Amino acid sequence: MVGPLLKGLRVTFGHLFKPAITVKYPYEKRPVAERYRGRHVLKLDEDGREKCCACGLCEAVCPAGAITLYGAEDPEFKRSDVGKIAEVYEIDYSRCIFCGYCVDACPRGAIIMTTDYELTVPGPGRGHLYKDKNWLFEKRGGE
Amino acid sequence: MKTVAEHTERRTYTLNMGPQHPSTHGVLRVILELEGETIVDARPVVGYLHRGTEKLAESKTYQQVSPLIDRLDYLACPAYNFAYCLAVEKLLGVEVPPRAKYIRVILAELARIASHLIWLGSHAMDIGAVTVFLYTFREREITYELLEMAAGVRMHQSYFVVGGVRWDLPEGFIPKLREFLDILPSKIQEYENLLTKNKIWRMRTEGLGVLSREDAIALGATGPMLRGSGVEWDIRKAYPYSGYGEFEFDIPTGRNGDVYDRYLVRMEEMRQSRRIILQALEKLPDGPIHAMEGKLYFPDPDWVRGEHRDIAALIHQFKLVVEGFHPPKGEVYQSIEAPKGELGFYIVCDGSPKPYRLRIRLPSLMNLQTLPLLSRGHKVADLVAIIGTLDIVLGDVDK
Amino acid sequence: MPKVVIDGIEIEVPPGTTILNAAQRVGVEIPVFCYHPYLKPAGICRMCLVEVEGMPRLLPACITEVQDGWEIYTNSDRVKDAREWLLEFVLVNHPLECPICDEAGECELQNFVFKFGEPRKRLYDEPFKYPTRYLGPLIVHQMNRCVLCRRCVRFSDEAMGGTDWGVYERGYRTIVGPYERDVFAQKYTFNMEALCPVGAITSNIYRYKTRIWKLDFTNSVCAHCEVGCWLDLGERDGQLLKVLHRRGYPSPWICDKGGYGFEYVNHSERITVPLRREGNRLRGVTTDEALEFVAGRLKGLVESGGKVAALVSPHLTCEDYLLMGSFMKEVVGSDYLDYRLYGGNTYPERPAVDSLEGVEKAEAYLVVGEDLSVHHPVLALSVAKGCKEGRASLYLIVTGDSFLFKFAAEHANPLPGKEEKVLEALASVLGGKDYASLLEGTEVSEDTLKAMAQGLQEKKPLIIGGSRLTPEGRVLLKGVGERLGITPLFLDWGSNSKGAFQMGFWSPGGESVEDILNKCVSGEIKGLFVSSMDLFRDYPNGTLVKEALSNLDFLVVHDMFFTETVAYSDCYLPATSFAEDGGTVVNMFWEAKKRNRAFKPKDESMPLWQVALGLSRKWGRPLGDFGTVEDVTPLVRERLSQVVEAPSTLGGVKAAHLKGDIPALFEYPFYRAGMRTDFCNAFVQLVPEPYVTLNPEYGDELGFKNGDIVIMEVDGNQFRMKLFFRDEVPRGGAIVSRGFSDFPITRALKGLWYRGIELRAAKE
Repeated sequence: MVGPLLKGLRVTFGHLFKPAITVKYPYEKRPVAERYRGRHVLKLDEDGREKCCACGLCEAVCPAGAITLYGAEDPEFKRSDVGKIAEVYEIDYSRCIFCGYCVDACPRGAIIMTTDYELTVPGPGRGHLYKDKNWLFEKRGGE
Repeated sequence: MKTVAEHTERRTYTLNMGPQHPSTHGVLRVILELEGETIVDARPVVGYLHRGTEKLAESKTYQQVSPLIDRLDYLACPAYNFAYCLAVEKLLGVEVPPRAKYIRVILAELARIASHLIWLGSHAMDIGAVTVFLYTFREREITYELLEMAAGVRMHQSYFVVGGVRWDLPEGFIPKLREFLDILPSKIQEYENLLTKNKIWRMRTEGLGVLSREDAIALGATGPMLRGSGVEWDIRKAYPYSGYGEFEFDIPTGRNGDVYDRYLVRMEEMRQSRRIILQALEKLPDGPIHAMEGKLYFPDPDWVRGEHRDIAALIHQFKLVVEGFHPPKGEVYQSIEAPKGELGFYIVCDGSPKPYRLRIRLPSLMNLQTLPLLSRGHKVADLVAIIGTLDIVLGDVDK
Repeated sequence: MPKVVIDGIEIEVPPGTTILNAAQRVGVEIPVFCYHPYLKPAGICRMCLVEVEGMPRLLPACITEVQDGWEIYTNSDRVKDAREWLLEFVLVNHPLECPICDEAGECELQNFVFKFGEPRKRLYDEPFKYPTRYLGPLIVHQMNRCVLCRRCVRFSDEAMGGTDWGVYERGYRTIVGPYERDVFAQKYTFNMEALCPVGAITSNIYRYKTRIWKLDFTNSVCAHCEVGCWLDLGERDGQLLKVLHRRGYPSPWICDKGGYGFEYVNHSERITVPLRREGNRLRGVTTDEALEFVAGRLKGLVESGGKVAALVSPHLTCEDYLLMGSFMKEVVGSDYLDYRLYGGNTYPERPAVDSLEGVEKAEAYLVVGEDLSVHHPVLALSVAKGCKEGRASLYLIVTGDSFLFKFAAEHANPLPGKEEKVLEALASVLGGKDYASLLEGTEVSEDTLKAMAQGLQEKKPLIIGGSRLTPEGRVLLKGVGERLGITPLFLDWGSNSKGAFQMGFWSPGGESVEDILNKCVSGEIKGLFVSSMDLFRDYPNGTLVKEALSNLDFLVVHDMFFTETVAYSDCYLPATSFAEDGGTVVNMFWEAKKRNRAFKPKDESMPLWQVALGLSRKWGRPLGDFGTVEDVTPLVRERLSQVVEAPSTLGGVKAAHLKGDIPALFEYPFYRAGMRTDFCNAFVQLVPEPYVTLNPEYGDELGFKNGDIVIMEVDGNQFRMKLFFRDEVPRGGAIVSRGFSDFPITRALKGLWYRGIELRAAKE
């Protein structure tokens, strides 16, 4: 009876001399994988124009219905290289399930998921979690 | 109207082990009828985590249903995805390419190991051996890292799609997996050192929650619940799917059908899963990872938005999103050996891109049926051990 | 009867059936690109190729007639390969524009490639690039995406009688499109957009706004004209964004007003809160306050002996008319009701045919008194159909017809105001009496009339009496009909005048709108309720309207926008559009159709029946307990099944005043007719300003040039407008456009639609 108990205790005491495996977040951060599905970012192309042309595939494929999208024409091709931009592009992070289907569905590679997972918002109320185009863009919101 | 005499005659005490409880592994409510400390009856009340998965699935395309399925048993997501994709592929009559088959087996068995690790941790912690919990989570963390490498997230990966897998395994995956499999036996030994011959453990678990062979079969218990009672039944051997027929592995069974036996069964299952993964890694061929490229899941991104852009691929991408593929009319039932038992999907298709009816046969819900039988006559303190041995996850019970 | 076997199913079909039609009968689907059920099959695209046992080549199913004993396979390997390769060829030049193409979601090319094609094509080449053409505010033409099915060209030829749209160049440089024009807006352009299987012709109004799968479609009925085409209103988030016409009946085609004329529903200038006049300003109030105010004032007026009248638009629903009529008759106690705000003094009559199919079956047509393509466009297409196929002859007595004359066997183009004279002459010819004197001054030749009379006697015609006919004109036409043994089909203004009539929204004494307005001027009627129409825009007597409105004690206007009528009002109640409330409407064939609500009324807008209900409640004598419009519908149905007798209105209308040099007809341009089209941005862009049109030779005679700016003088009023030359104007006459809410053209009219005008060049 005592034998097995001592064996167990030996295991436990053995751990006193092994290194700790705790990662002291937020002072230490564990590196995340390359493919990590964190926050979304809308990309710009090399000329600084928006890649997103409001095709609506991400909105249609999202299983949670987190994306809202309204298109508009850009007749002078200033903000887009195809003449169509997303006038309203919102992701509701209270609904997003981070499945990554929107990234797979995008026919131009305009939306990607970054390794940013720190998405807490400053206050209560779900309004904070509706992220609009400005926040999602590469230049300002996206690092 | 009861008389005073009749009132005072009642001798059982009703105790509510409410949905909020640290040991019910989720929001399980058990209504106990006690006589002193002995359980006369234990009635589980379920539904506190019901999210309407089956109904939601009726309004989503076959591809969009996958994330819903992930969230059933959130501790072994790849396995559940696996079953769903197999069911739809059976409906379509599609054969998945070999590389995808083996990748699925690898990840499903990895999910089994992960699920058993957390089962062990929480079961032991409930009984009192808190240390084991932290040790198993250390190993489980490595499985999380592996899955994160492959799919991008630690839970709810939606990694399998109808027709194959979503992406191929990344470069560092197999070495890291081999590393994990190398240390796994010693870790399992560590747990065994702590528990298997431990007198306290044996006193708490032996003879407890005995489920006889006949009762197990009659009540529809599957998985380790069934095998712990001595029935040699594993769907991987009985109806091999996705290439399991090519692997060599044993099915551990117990003798007495008590909590201790089931503990031993699950520990051995972890070792057998490791065996399967090693064999699958040996046999892993190269090749495509989708069947019917472009017709079931999105075509290769290179064809859609990369250098070799193609209007036909773009059109397929569009139609898959907006409409989805149309399986032929019919019904199909496909079950697999999930970590917790037999997981089955019954899909009725009416030719449209959304399932007409999706019925999920959940292992934990069926295993939970045995709770009253198992706990009758035992003490309240043993109830926790019994619930632990059932290995239920409430997402799996309530859908 | 030939017997064939299609995919193993045996069927016996009448001779002359094509393989495609036979397959449709057994439920076998054959994909088609250029075939359309309402156009003649052409066999251009070769998508419908099927294999027939014993035949060396694959046969096109849409044009090949079945022969007895054939065995047809629609899904053999040869057929599958053919479809795959055909799609590969079609995709060779197709641009990668799916993300921005508006057709995605209903694109037939996408559907076929997904079903029958492969995800990769093997031919890599730079596609031939055409420029994008913005053909006006209605459609955009992107030749890059065209698959050369030629549905648009065939529609333009077969249904519209040939327009500027055709196929040019050849080989890989083929272009389909308009040859001369930069703006293509030919009244039925919506159909071309709907026919196009890919995104080569797309709507400029809907362009890029949202995807079609995000729209919720509700079934409703168009509110612009009496034909009452079924529409599917696509709304998202309370905005009406697109309209589809998915039913093949009453007609597979729809006009541009139905398809594009809905932008006013979401116009930014719409006022959706009640307003109440305080001195010189109209202040926003709550609905409760407004209704209280109106009910109070009306009650005061009635108790002090004054009369109240109600004038409503003929585009509303039967429920509106029923409850408002009950309110006026039972609660207010007034009999002065009318809906004929477009002018005229005729009541609806039971139709001679019961559907458009009945119209299409006729062997001859006599159309008098209206340009059908402006006010009943789909009816014009139905009339044209038989004529185009050579089955029917068309005889027109219409001033300034712009569409049907292409198909007419005999076309009389009388001077404005003389249509009924010509009709009288026709009656005389048929009666064998002298008619030459009647034709004097009409610019119609005796030969034309003689030929017309002869043709009408050969085949039994369908007589269509347009909305311009006076009661006397209708009597004449009925006389002509009697001689030929036919009851004419009479058309009315608005989209639900039949419904308004049946609900009893008219004065039992037979008073016309003119009488009511005169009573307002004289002070007998002290209070007026106007709904959903700008009297200054549409009623053909602007001066009378102004006098009447200025003399009133109390004016309530129920409308959507701030029109000139609202400027005179004491209270403004916000109205709903046809998309925000359901109801029943009765179309020109006296068929009751149900409209459904696409989205909730905006802010405080109310339909007319709700206003009537609210006012009756505030008055203290509620009409009933109606929650939604469906609660009122049973009462409407009951009323619709009764027989309503119209009073006689002969002798009540004054003759047209034609003092002045040039007799002119004041007519709506197509894109200004219908309900609230001056708040549809696209239409306003197409017809931005009023204009005068003259016959080119007559214009030369008078010394004008096409595009000159002229001053039109009527009764001392001077109107500065552009002058255009149009062939359809009769020599010696002019046609002036009307229907502009920001231009007081109706000041020139005095009750009817003809006036003599003087034209002179404007001094710069």
